[in-house]
Amino acid sequence: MRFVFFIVIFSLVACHKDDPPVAPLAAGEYSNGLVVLNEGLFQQNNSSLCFYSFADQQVYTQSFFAENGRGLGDTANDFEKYTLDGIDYIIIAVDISSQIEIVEANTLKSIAQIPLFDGTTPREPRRIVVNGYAAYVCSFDGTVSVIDLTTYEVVKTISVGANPDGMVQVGNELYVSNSGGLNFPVYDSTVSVIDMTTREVVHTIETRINCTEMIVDSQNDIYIFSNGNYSDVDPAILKIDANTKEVSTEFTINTSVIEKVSDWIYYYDSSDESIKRFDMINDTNESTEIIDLSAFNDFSGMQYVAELNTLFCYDANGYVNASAVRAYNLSGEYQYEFTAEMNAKKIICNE
Amino acid sequence: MPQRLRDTNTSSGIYRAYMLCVFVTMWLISLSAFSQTDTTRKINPILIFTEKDSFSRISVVNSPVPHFVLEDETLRQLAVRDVGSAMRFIPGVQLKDYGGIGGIKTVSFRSLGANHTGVMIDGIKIPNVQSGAVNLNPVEVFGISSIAFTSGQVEENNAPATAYLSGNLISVKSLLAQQPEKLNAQIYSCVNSLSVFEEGFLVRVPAGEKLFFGFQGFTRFGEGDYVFQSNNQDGPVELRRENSRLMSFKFQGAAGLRLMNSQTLFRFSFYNNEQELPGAMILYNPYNDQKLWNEDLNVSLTHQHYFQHWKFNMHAFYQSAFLRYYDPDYLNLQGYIDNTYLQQNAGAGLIFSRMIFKEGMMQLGSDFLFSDLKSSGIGVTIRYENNSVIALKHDFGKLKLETNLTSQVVYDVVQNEDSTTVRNFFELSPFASLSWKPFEQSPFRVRSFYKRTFALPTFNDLYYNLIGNTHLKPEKAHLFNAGISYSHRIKKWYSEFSLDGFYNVIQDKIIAIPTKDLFNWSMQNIGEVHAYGYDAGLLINYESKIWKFTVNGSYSYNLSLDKSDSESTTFDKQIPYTPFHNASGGIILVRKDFTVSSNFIYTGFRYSLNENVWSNYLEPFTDWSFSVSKDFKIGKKFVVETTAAALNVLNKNYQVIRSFPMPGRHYQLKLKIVIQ
Repeated sequence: MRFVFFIVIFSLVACHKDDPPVAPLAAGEYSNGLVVLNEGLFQQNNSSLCFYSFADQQVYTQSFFAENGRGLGDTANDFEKYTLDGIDYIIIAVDISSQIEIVEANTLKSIAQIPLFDGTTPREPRRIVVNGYAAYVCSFDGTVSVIDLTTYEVVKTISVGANPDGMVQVGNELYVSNSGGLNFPVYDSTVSVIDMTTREVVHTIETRINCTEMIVDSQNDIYIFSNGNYSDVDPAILKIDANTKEVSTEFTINTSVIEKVSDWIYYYDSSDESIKRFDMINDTNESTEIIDLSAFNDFSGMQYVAELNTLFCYDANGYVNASAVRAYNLSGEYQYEFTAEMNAKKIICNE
Repeated sequence: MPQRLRDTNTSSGIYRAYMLCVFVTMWLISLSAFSQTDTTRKINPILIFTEKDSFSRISVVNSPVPHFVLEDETLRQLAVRDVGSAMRFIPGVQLKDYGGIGGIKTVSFRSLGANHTGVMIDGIKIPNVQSGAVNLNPVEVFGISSIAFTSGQVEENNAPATAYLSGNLISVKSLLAQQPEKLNAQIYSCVNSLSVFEEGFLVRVPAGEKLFFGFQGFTRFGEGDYVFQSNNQDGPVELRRENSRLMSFKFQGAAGLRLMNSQTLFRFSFYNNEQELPGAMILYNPYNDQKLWNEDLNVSLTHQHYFQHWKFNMHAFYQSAFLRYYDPDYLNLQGYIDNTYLQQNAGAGLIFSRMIFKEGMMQLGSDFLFSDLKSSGIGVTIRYENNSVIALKHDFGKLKLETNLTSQVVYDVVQNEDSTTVRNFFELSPFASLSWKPFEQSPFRVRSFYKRTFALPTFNDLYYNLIGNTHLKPEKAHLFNAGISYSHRIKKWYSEFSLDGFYNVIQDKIIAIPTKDLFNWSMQNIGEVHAYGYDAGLLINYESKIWKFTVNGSYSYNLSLDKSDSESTTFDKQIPYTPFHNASGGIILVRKDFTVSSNFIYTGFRYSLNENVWSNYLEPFTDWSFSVSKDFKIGKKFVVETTAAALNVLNKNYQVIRSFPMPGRHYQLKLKIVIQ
């Protein structure tokens, strides 16, 4: 009898834990705040957009779903904002769902959904560069798709190297780094250069294994990040000279995350858990600590938003939980933070 | 003979407090009614436990541990085709089901995962050192005589030492292994509107009084494709779950010899399977071209020998399992992944049982096992294992005590290209249970048990390529269970009730976590889970010469909280894939050789990942089925058993595992010709 009594009391007390979660609210208007792209987890179909409003400092989660009634897809990797005929849009690359989503930047309403498949094989789009009326999307199947942003048609597909995972525009040329990342342990080590008028590959540069991000400085030199092979080959940063278009120098900087802040590369030094910076004009590594990140659980990325002169750092909190986004000024002083969703990847500022 | 469980038909857990009051009231009423002497049982001409009883669920009420048995009649009414689907109807069981004709099905119970749940077929435990979980989809219901489930301690005679190790055990007994009285045969066919077909035959031949042999052939094949509802840019859309084709066949045989003091059984089974994998339903990317091949061979010999006060049981087996996985869409340089794995296991063991002090029994047993795995990702991995047990049971009249101590000693050698890794494990697992029947006249019982159990890390956890962690410790769990049970009979009515509360603490839970980034994962012992809850079941039966009527229901409440890291946002939150509320129930009506039955399972909402937030929320669902059976006698020798069923009548494409939708409403027809 006492046992049954205990069970009844226990169930009533435990009530609050088993209440269903609260459904997300749609903000309706996204013109004054930060739109965050959250990658989610592979095969969980849980990529999302969330919105941090400057007005009330609230986070509105699941904004894409709340505005469009459907999920964003699986593993969204990149998004960019562009303006066409006076209207702001956001273009999103959703890797595993193999779709390109176009939404209106201030309402997050869907305008177009462009599938990227080769027959029935998904191309797996990763990174986007917008140039005028065209969007260039590099996909893990070794291609760059050119999308006309007025008709939303794929007008050309250009073959590059294996598993391209970084793109940068310099003048009228598009540089694509071919990582070969799915080919472990034999990575690719080239960069393809595409002329954006003819849309052909005009040059291939030999670099180093597993290259992803590229950063351009004001002198048009390109700094490219090589991830190494996660065991005996360390990461490094290579400089591709603007004139010779070949690799001129290799810098041994053991890092995992880099970000362009005007003419510096801000990078993460994992040995002392801090952000340091590298001067791209003088090619010198300044070893002073700018931001101390030792309080982070899992530092997973950073982004400089020029309009706010703020550096945002992401803490993945175990990679299977919601990320924390923390804002710092360029002197390294903490400003504020908010909780995004799973694996925050990038921020677009709507102001 | 096991007693039957009667459960009231419950709905969802919202009414749990009310429900408990109902149970308590019913218990009090039956207790007071029972204070008169139970003469009804003695004069009631209808036997309570006959072989042809049409109860839909069986809880063994006088067992010291949670113990459920599904006999072949029950399996027929549940309209299930494989052991995994049948397990859903056992209270407290959570089935992980990837759906479709070939989807993997693994069982966990009270938040103890599949690595704590052993599967034993005809007295031989199925090893799976590679992933630690046994897929229950290929174990077909055709040819099965009973499926038993126990938590805490195996409750059957002639179990080997290895069976005493795991926290939970599923024990399957096939018809082939039993001695037939006369020649009998079965021809079986099943057609399912999801394009699933099954054909089988079973022949059992007695040769003289002492010898028998039997053969069973079974094939399952079909496209297995079905439509399901989804959403795309233009709104709701109907998609088709393709790339599901499966073709498998299994051929089994048995030969048995029964002498005055001994029984010997030889069993073999050969299984070949080729299937396409539909994969996770990725939003807007429905294409999948992965394929899987399996080829398994099992050979075993068991022998029991009886003396006046003691007996021994010995067994030996060899098993090989070949697996090949192929993905032609993987975007590496080759353009595909093609991995093969060959696992071989062999073992032999002995267990002695002796009666002591008149009312007690002592058992001592030991098994030796050898496993090796050759694969494209790990090199060659070898494991030597010894599992031993010492067990004591004693009946003190009103009190029954059962205890055992099991040990596991393991020695692993892994050979890669350039290095050799050696790993040892030694673990002890004690078990104790006390059950009490306070009133001699009344069938009211109280039972309790404690077990400290463990699960070794698997080969995948320890040695797989980049993510394996050779320093992993075994997962440990402390299991506590306490429960009451009661049964009551008034004239043609019989009711039975059980309520078990549990508290499980799981430590050093092995979890895959990303380390530096999402590319670098590793297996770690970082989890701690505290699971509390209870399972309640009620069954009511009415039986007359013409009619039989049974109503049963069960309800489970499970609160399993993550206690791994008090700083984390997941601390004190419900762990993934663990619904708070579960219920199941059924109604069966039998008139002579015609049966109508309806069964349902209800799974409450749960989360697909650790954070209890809306984006991880999986909706609750009810899977309700309805079946009709009729037996036709043709002459003296032939019986044609037909069963027609409508499954998932509510037509919802629910997801057990996120991104794996289940088929909607579908129909099934089974035909079995029994010749005897």
